[in-house]
Amino acid sequence: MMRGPVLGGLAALVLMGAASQAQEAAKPFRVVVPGAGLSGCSATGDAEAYREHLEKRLSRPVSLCGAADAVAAATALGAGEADMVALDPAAFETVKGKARAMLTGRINADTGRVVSVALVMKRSGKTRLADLQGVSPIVAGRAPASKDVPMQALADAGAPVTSFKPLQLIEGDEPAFAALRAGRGDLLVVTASARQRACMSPDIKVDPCADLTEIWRGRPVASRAMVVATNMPLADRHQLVGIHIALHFEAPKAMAFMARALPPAVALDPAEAGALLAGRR
Amino acid sequence: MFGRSIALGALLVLAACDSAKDDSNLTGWRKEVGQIRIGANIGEENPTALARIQAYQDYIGRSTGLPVKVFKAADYNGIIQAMASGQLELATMGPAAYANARAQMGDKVEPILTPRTAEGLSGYYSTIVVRADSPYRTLEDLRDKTVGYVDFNSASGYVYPRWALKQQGIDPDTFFGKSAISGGHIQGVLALDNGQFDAVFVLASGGTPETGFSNGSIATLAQRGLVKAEDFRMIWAAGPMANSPYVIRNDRPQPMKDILRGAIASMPYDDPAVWVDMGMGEGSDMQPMQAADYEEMVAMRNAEVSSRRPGAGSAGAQR
Repeated sequence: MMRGPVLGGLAALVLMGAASQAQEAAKPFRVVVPGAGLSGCSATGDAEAYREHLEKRLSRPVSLCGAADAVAAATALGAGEADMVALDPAAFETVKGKARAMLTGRINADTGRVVSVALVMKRSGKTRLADLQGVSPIVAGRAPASKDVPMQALADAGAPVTSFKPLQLIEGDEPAFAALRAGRGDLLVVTASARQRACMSPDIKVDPCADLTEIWRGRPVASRAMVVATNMPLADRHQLVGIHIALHFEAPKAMAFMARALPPAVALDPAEAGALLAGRR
Repeated sequence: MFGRSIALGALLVLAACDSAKDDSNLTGWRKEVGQIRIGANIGEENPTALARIQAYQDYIGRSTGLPVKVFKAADYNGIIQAMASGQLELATMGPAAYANARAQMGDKVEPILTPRTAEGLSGYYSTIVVRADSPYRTLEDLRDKTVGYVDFNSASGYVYPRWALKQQGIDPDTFFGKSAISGGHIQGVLALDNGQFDAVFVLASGGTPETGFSNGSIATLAQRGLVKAEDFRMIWAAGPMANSPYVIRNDRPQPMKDILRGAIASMPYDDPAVWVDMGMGEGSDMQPMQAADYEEMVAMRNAEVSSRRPGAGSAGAQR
């Protein structure tokens, strides 16, 4: 008896859903990038190549506009007048309650914003970054991913790095951990991968690093990132990430524009929500 | 035959999910696809991944808005056959298995991502390992000896080292006295430990021959307490070759492909706990890949198959 009206109602809902989706598809996706040579919303050259690529992949119109500065871009995002904007940490502060970082630039093939850790001997009694005043730091190699990125991340987190004694470069994870234990330094700054490798044990009851305290873990603050609203649907954000991280080989001309949007970038990496926030643990 | 039975098994498992395609709430590409079916070679060698697969399924499901099914296979053949018959959207497989899939399916399959270490490395090595108490210290010492390969579809355990040896002027079919397929990296190492082989081909990663390796077959077994790393000696290494790719069916809707690539690449940033629980290294992430990154492996495998079947020319029929 009720089948007819129920089916009719469901059909109406489906049609409404389809209409809503069609409206969404027709609505432009609005990108705002300050300081990348854009004048108003008329993209040319590699900027137009980027806009066209994004439009094709999103199957909806895309507008690409410049802005006076990053704060103006943040304001547009906060007011719902933009969907994705390029921001620096200062501009992000103005919208951090309702926005998140999504993509950052990768400075070269080997170097990303690696998760790093700061380790001290447990017997030192140090438990906070503030306790690191005047310490002698050790890093496990001269490659940027082993030295520059972890040290920058530590500085970004607020460690008193200017008080540190000269950095000791010790090649290799095991020698670096051994140097800390031997007292050749009192702080070891390594990638999370190095810590994981050095602290693995076949017996879960045995912790080879029980004598160490990890007092900090984090990534360096991004100098610039593509930012979206936190309420952007997850699928939409992941679609944007999927499109952008392959730009350098799928659409090199479009990547040339993004290299100016997030300088210096040879490729784009996904980013955690707070990539532009300083002083995170 | 074994591969076919696995593929049929997969069909049975996946058939139960077809009702998702009738979900009237789905629209657009989601209605077209209905569900995400992922193939993964996660057998006994990766118990952590096996235990945490539910978290991975949930994560992909949240991202795509579709039900996710994971087809777990003990070897790559089942995954390749299931993908060839359109029963999978996405799969993880070794580089040589991808080369096999590419030979069978052409550009219907495409690599999209591969794991990258914190140090930016996205490749691994093939090594020859002997027992530490054996007299073998150089490749020449293994002339006329018995060696164990992993699998015909294994990049580090068959295709790549045979190609690399030929580059060094060594024909592995005549240089070694006898060879056999062990069936897996773990099986190979255990067989070496038991004295069934004089040497085995296994993978090593997390470093270079110069720095040493922090991961790989020996390290994994040692961490599980099954062998002692010091009981073995590496006497040869070749590489690096590109890490195992995530391979996608290219004929699926573009939004689905982009979302899956973005979701998996975002996992170490969005949900690092799940990432590590999946057995991925802390601080590692994903590197986007394309077919060109595996061209060398495809050429190597085609050459290897041609040499095994004179006159065959191609490594597999195009579908």
